[in-house]
Amino acid sequence: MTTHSAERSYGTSVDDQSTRSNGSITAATIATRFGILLCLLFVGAVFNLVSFSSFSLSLSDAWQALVHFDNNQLSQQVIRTLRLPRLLTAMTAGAGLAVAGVLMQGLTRNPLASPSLFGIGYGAALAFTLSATGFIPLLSVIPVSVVCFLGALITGLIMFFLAGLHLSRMNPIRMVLAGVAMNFLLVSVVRGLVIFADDHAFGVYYWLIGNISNATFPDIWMAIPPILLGLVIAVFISHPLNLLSLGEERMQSLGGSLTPLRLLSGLAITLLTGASVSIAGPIGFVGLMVPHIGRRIVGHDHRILIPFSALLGAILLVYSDILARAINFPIDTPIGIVTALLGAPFFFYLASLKTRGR
Amino acid sequence: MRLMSVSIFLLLMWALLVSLSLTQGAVVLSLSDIWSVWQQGTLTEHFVLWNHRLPRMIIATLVGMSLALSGCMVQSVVRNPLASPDILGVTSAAALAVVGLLIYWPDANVHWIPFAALIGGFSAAGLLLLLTTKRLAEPSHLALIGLALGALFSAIVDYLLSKYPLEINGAMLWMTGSVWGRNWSHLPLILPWLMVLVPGAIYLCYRLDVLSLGQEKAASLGLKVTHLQVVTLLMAIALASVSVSVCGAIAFVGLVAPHIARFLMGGRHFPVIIIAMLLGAIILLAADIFARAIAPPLEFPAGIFVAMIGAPYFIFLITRYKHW
Repeated sequence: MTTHSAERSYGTSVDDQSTRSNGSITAATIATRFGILLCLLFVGAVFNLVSFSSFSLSLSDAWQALVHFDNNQLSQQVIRTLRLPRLLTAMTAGAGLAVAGVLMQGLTRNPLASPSLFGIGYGAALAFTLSATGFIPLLSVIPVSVVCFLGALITGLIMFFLAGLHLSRMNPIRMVLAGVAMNFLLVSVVRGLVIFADDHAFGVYYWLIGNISNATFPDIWMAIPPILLGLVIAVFISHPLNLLSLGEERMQSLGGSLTPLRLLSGLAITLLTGASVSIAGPIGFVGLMVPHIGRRIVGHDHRILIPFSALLGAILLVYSDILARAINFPIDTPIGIVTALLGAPFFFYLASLKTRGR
Repeated sequence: MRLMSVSIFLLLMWALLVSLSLTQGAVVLSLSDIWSVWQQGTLTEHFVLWNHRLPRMIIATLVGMSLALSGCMVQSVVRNPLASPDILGVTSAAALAVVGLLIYWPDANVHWIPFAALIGGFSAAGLLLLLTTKRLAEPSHLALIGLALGALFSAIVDYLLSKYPLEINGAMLWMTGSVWGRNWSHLPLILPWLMVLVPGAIYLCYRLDVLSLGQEKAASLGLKVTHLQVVTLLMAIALASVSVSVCGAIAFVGLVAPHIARFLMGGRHFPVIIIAMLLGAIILLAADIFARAIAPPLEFPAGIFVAMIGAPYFIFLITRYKHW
């Protein structure tokens, strides 16, 4: 009973904020904020290409490598074959995970929903481990991104029912607990498999945290179509999501229908998460943090929030990648650790905010 | 009477598992071997039995008991059957302390590890209580804050492990929880705590029964509610940290055992606590036998099997729980 009131109070606060922000933010300010974000992304991308390298790289090297690539120059080789795929991976995975987070929070109307707390990332990771260790020979034949997508899809479907999203009243704590149990289960299965396969232990441990230092172009080309498709679907359903934020009854009385919205956003979430995980591993907390920051900056309208969060997610991962190289300089830290170190305090902040709100 | 019959049944089951635990493993013994080893202490099997199997069996039993008891107490304070010590962030804090010790003080004696875990667990508990003092009346938020703290601690553990990758294997084993290689020197770390805290828990049983009527009713019956909650929680956390310090982070025993016990015995705390402790011992012992008998020379951490049984059961409970 107490938790219902929490949900309701959260719902009303969303309504209040959205009406307020729609009143105060004009199209021009939104355009300016998009512009600032694009500049930030550009600066971050350039810095990401040349900074913190064991070889000295310069801006002109980066320019040369992009415009007319000279195969004999070591610095250009480094940028073209190591740095560029890494940058692209960070951007695509960041955008994908962030939008998946926006969709999950919009769909569940719960500020704590996100792909990593839901176990979807680890579902894809389990599928990846199964195919990498060769326990199910069939999975080793299928391309990795398809395997990850399947894992994400199955976990997503199971979680949909476990978290009680099919019920009319959904409880945020039930959702979080179900996600925690799912994560525990998947992680322990993955660990068991890793111990059985032994020689993969180190690689799989790194991959499980989320790591993009081994990114290659073929992987990225595999992941970009599903992410683009997911983004298109997300933009397409942004208006029904706005209606949903008014509450399910009001949405239906305004002529929106719930089932196609849930199916489409479920499809988009699995596409985005599965593809992101297949190239970058289950990077945590991106989908939790970005939607909150995005709502602070551009308000609650999903038509603006979704593209904005995609940009913001890309920026977050591009800068996290720079940090991941900087923390411990000559050694590369997995990027998932950087996002976890940023995201765990954020999660804590959200949890205590929810407590104080009542 | 029901308590009597159920506990006798469980004791028989435990005895069966004990005999399996003593005989199965990389060296398979028979029960008659055990008898002859007992008679004449010069055989080679004597070493296996006395230095490996027996302490391991005892430790698994005691840790299972204390995890189950800890789960009972947390659930009666939080008054949410889905709460458990691992969800409160105690285990990840203990893991953080141990990994920190392994990395920053590699020369430290192995026997320091349990103390580091204890300190870590208690500081996390202190932090949790400090952060939720005003909110103890809304216990489900204790769980949410605990979860968030746990996420924070495990992020730091991951960072440390990536910075010092040499420690990954040992730390991973420890974080999953294993009874492997436990010997007599681990016994004094857990036995005294249990000898104090089990009678303490039994002493509190009646008060916890009153608390389960609801906080207002309990207060009007003259119970110091907050006081009782804090004491119970501290005892639960002590039990959880002690077991983590001996066996590593074994999840879900503290969740599943109290549940089955409540299903068998109803709502009164005294029978539930007794049966839950027996069940906890059985679960961990069974998981440990499984972990070493499934592919003999290779040993899995017992924690993996507990999670594989416990997590689906927990998920089943979530779908069943009606009081959202």
